[in-house]
Amino acid sequence: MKPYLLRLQAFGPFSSKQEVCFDDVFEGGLFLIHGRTGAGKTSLLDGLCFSLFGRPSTPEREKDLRALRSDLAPPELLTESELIFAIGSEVFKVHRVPSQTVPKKRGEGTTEFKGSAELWRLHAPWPEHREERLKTIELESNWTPVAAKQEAVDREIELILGMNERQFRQVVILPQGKFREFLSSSSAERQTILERLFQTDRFSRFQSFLTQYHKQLEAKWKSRTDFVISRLQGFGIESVQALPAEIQARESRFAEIAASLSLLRDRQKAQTLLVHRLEALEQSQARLRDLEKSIAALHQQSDSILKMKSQVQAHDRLVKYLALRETLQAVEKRISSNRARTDDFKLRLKDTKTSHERSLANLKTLLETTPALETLKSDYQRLRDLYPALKALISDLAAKEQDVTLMQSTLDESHAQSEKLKQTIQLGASTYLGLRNAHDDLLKDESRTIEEGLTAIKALEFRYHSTQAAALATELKLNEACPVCGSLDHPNPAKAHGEAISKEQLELARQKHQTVIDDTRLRQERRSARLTQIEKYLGDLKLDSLKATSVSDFQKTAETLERDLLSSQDTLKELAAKVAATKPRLEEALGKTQATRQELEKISPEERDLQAIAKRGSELKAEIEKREQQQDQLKALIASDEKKLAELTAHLEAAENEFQSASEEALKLRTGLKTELETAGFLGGPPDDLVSKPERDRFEKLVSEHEAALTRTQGALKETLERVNENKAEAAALLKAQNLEHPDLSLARGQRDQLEIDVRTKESQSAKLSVEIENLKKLRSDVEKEEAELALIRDESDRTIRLTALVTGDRSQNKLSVPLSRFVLQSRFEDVLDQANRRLTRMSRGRYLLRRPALSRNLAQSQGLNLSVEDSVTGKERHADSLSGGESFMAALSLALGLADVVQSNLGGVRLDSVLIDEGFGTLDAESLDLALRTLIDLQAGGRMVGVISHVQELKSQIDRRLELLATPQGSRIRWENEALVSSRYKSPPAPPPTVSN
Amino acid sequence: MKLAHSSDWHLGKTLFARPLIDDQRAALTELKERIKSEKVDVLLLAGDLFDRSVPPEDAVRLLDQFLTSVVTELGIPVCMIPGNHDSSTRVGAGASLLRSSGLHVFATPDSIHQPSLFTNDRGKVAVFGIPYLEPGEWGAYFQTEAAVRSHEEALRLILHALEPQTHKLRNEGWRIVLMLHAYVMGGSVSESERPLSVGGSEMVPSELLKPFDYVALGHLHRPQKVSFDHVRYSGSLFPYSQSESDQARGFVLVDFFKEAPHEQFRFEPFQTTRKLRTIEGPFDDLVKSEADRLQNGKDKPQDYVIALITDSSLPFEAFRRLNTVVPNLLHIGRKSDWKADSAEASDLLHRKLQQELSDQDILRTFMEAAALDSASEENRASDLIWLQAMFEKFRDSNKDSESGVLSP
Repeated sequence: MKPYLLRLQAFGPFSSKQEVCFDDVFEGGLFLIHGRTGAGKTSLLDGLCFSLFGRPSTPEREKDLRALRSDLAPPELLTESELIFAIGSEVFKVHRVPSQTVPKKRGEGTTEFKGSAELWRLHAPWPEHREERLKTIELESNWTPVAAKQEAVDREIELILGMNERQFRQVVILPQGKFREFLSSSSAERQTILERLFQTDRFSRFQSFLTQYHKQLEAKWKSRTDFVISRLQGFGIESVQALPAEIQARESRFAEIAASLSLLRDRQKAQTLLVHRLEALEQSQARLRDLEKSIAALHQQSDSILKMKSQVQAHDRLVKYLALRETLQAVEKRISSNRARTDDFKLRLKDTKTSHERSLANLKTLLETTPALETLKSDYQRLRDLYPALKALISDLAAKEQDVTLMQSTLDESHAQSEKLKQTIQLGASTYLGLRNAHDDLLKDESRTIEEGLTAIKALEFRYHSTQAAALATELKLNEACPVCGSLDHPNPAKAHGEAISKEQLELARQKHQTVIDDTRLRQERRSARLTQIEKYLGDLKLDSLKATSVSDFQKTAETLERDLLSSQDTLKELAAKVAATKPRLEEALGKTQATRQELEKISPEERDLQAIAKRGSELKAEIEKREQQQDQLKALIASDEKKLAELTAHLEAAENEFQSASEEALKLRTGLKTELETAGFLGGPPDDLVSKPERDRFEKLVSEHEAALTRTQGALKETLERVNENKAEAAALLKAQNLEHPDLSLARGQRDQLEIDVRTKESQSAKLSVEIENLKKLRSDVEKEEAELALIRDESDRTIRLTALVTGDRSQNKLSVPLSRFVLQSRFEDVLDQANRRLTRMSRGRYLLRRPALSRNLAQSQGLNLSVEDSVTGKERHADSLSGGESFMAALSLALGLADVVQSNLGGVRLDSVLIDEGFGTLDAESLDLALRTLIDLQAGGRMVGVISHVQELKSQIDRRLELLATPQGSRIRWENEALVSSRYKSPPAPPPTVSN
Repeated sequence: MKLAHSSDWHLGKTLFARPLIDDQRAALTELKERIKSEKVDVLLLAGDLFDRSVPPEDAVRLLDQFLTSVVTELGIPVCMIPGNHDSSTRVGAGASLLRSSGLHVFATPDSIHQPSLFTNDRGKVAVFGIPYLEPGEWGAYFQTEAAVRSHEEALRLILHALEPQTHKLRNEGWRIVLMLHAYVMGGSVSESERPLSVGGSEMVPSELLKPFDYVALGHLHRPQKVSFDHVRYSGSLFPYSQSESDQARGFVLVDFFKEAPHEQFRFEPFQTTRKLRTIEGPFDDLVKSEADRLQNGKDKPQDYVIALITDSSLPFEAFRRLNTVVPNLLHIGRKSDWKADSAEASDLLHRKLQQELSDQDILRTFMEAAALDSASEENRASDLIWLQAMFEKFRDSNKDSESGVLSP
């Protein structure tokens, strides 16, 4: 049980509505409940206890439920509580209102309020976080009502928790001053709690289950045994033990009967046989008599049968004769016709032979002419071979001659062109001469021009100098040195000639003249270079006579000439090359032509005529075809004659053969006929008294029937005779065996029938006995099976008794004398002590250990759950009551925690996942307190919720989750001590300035 | 500047109900002599000076005497913080008055912002003290939105708040020393420490303490450094549990004047204090060997002894008999029982509880215990199978009748 939310209203010191949510410690944790005395620490546990069980946490407080009501609460506020708690994964809500006195709604005075209680189960999933959890539990629709009446709620809660309020107070809440209750409670009381917590009642129930099971087994055994006995009684057998003897007695009786039966059967068999034999004898003798009579009758018929027989024979002979005669006649007819055909063949053979010989002669004649035909053929073949060769040769010759002609004309053309070119060059040469002359003329003209220019310049110079001198002369004064000659005397002062010119003018004229000279020189050089070029071309052409041409424009003419020459020269070179190339080809062509011609000439002139050859060829061909046709016709004729001859010869041969065989047959037939007649005895002709064919057939049938009847009867007679003898012998043997003399059939029959009756009686006796034996045997096997079954049941029953004894602690089977349920309790209690000791040794520093007193350890009685404390310092066991306050608190705490541990580990048992400890820590010295606290801190690691109510300051400083109860004049309030509360403690004054010392 | 660091005195503590006040007094006397001779400038006390929030009078008297003589006679200022065993309110009473006299008590959340500054010709040291408070209280002090649950969260808040101040001081050339009562991750625990937190995590990461020049830690009883050379527990004044027997006790000497970092911090063991010994073996052997020891005078300071005997049961008057040769016998018990007390046993406890015992197991156990010895092995086995099958049958037959509020 883990509380999640507790609401208290007008409850104890809480005048108003107070609410505590344990969410923070719900998944496990240690928390402290503290507050001033009277603030309601214990009332909180009361509230918890009341919510669950409708009673406060200590019985003392229980005395007056009305005392629960808060004195400070306003009268109209109802006292009520609500608790939400978890058991395992289930969450429940319980709401309680105790009976109380409330003011009347109308008017003065009070009225009694009847208490109520309700229990719900949360069906919605349990959320992860606090906010959602709070939301979930607030929603009415998330809860399913479980119980609504106070009694029902109490019952359900006890069922859910797995413990009642008293047990709850001992193992979940360790109430103030009462924590040692479980520690010091009596063994019996402890047993009740442990039984409840560990649910060991199932083991007690298991014990009674086993007893029940044993009863069932016994009943089963009994009913089956009874059935067997009733079946035995059905056979008149008293007991199972008598069964084998009974079967044996019956079996020996059965054997006796079987023996006598076998004897009787043998006798019966013999008698039956005798009767049988006698009957057979009688029968065969009767039959013998009948047969003898039949034979006599048959013998009487013998004469007429013999007559019929001879008549039949006569008839048959005649028929045979007639058939022979007919055959002979047919053969003779065949012989005569055959002879006619043979003659015809002979005649035709002769004709054919004649024709054949003629044809052979013709062929011979024809073949004599055959050599001529061969000649013709070879001629024709030669012509056929010759004709295409000749034709090719002729055309080849023509082509070659054409080539020659073509080349010849090319050559001629080239020659003509050459000639023409040569003329052109000659013309060019003469033009060159002209040009040369023109050049010479031009040279003369140009020299003259230059000369004239020079003269003009000189004149100008003179003029210049004279004018210059004149000018100077004008300046000349006597006794002044002449700037020219220095003479002081100026005898001949210069005079001006002509118009004065400036030095510049003179210079200009000089320059002009120089330009003319330069130009002229350039032109001359160009001309002479061109001429040299032309000469070179002409020289290349090896032409020496050059015709002078007067050409006004030397330049143009020379260029034209040059061009003409250049092109002529190229063409000429080309031509020469062409001629040079053509010439060897021409010669080759000529050579080839010559060869072809010579080849042609080898052929005779008449043969060279292609048309004549063709004509003769076709003539020859016609001739050949004609002759071949004739020959073929002849050969065909001969072949047909020969074929015909062969056919005829074959026919003839066949006809002759046939004739031969027919003749032989005829001869044979005649002989046969003759013999037949002789045998028949009627050579003179057939007798007259011959019977007709149907008559003859009837006779024949009668005869054979008669013969068969006779034979058959005789056979039967013989056989019957044998059987009679046989039967006689057998009957005699049998009689002899039975020592009888007279074979009296009726007597034998009577004896036989009696025997049969005897056998039947014995048989029915035997069968009855056999069935009885079978039934008994089946019963025996049934009984045996049943015995096995019963033995099993017996075993099972024995085992059940034995193990029930073991389980119930019967001394005969249980060496401990401890029943299973108590054993479980004790072993679980040992576990509890083991767990408790782990904590107690820790808290007491290894000093104390809880033990079951050595004396009671193996006792079957409830003292098995007694407790004592082992003190390791003294090495003595003490009673738990003798411990000091602090010591017993440690022991009780350890025990409670150990119990919780073990209960928790008990599969499917009660869950103890919270512990609430009300005080007790005050009794611990400082060192023990530390150790106890450590134990509690360790606890929460196991997911346990541990609540501690204490004044002890050390706890307050060591447990940081604290539920504080504040007492106010208006009533107490509960709250988790939070940060706001803490911070209010630190309102320290401003810090003094840092001190610097030293 | 030279500092001495001590913590976890647990004055007033008893061990197996034996008051240790005289031994604690002896240790404090040696501490006083040592800091005097070492010419220590400041003494740092990192919490758990008392064993309880309401300490016994002689414990209060002892502390009073010690502090008075150190501060006034030796003139050595003392810085101290309350630990988880101390009541911060009680330890912090009159803190602002005492400060001027040379006793620097950091007991309120505000005091974290009031470092003690010491300066002389050997350097400048600023000492910050963080009183031990529940994480929730720190949350309230810093007015966080969500409740502070872990010590790590609280320490981060504190160090974050101190950051500007330490930064400024460091820039001015001060050595920064922190006093803290906490379980620093990586530290090894003893049995005598009381868990800091009942709910959330109690550990704080050592990385947070790296930036300081020295961190004087309290809480863990074994003297040790954690992750860094300058993050140290001085260890408790006296071995307070069997698990601490044979461990050295002492204080840490911090000398910033030394150049090499490894010379700056040094553990100084006490010379004169009594030791705690655990002896194990058969009772008679223990009596004999301890008697020899007593005669040979090996056990001069007369160690406290915890005797764990390997006998199957305690001999008659075991304590008294051993006590005659072991004057300071604290406890005698069976070793097997003692084992149940260890931490592993606690684990074992939880593990064992997870195995639920089925009815079939119960039947087997019953058969094993109760069946006659005369029954053969096979018979017993077949009987058990029969009984288990019957029980199944019984349970099946009960199933229908078992109604359930519990199983809807």
